Amino acid sequence: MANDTHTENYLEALTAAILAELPPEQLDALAQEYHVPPSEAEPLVRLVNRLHQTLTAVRPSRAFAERVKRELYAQYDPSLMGRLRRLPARVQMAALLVFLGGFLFISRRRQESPMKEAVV
Amino acid sequence: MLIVTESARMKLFQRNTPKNYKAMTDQELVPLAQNDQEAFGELYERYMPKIYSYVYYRTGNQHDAEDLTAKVFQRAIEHIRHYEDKGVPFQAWLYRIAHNLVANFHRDSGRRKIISLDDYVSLTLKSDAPDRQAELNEEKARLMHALQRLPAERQQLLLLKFVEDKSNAEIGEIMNRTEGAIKSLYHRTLLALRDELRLQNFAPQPQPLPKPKQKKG
Repeated sequence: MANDTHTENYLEALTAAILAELPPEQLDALAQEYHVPPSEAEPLVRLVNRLHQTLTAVRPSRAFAERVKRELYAQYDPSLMGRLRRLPARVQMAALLVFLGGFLFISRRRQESPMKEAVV
Repeated sequence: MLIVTESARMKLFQRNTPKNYKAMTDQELVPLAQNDQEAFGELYERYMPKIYSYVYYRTGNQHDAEDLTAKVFQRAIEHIRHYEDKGVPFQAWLYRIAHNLVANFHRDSGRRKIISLDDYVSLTLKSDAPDRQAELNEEKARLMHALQRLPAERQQLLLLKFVEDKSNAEIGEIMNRTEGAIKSLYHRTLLALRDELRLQNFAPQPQPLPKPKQKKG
């Protein structure tokens, strides 16, 4: 090929055409337009095509996305209540049940202890 | 008598009006995101999948990609108060954080960017026949191994161009280079990759052009 700038321009045009998924005839036409011989153009076309097919976007899982978002939101409200509010609903429910259970347990113990003292 | 100034009334009105974050530009969201979690949430929704994809290819596995992606946004939230748009758009700023964290990750762990071949099986086109699918998997694995041998900045360039469909100008903003420098780097990168594949005695087979992609949501 003539020089680096010429090759750079050809590769830019070729990549844009492959990313736009233009038909092969147009890729051949590009090589002709930039005076690139087929023996040089062909491996480059194959390489760019392969990159286009291999390097595809990868999606994170929804659970991961939501967990990180909750953790980030918690940073806006560092208080205990703020952090509790960011927990999933089922965890909040479990925490509430544990809290109520503990409260009932303590209050029962308090009711029982004066009676025990009275027996003694 | 209560005297309410015009500016105070406007502030009150703005506070009580639900904001349409989705319609806002990054430049509008970033100052809000310093105190408003919903604004940061919108930025997160916009860029988290892109950052994840980028980090995934640089680390080669889901676990490290998730860990580093979370760290990118943790760092962003910690520093967003100090972010000023001095010609570096918000997304370029995020990619720079990601790039630095990935570099630290490889430096600290002292490992090469080894990508499991199994990870690439999932990227196979489901419509291909099993034989062709196996062949494609092998070609993809070879290409990925060749990519891993490139310097980090060249990998970054290819990922931004092919995975994220970024223009040379956008890539230049992220990599802190001029558009011309990116064009030139791309040229050198492709030739280096072609030579690397030749060394591996790998020649991708001629194939029909790919079907329209369904990769981006």
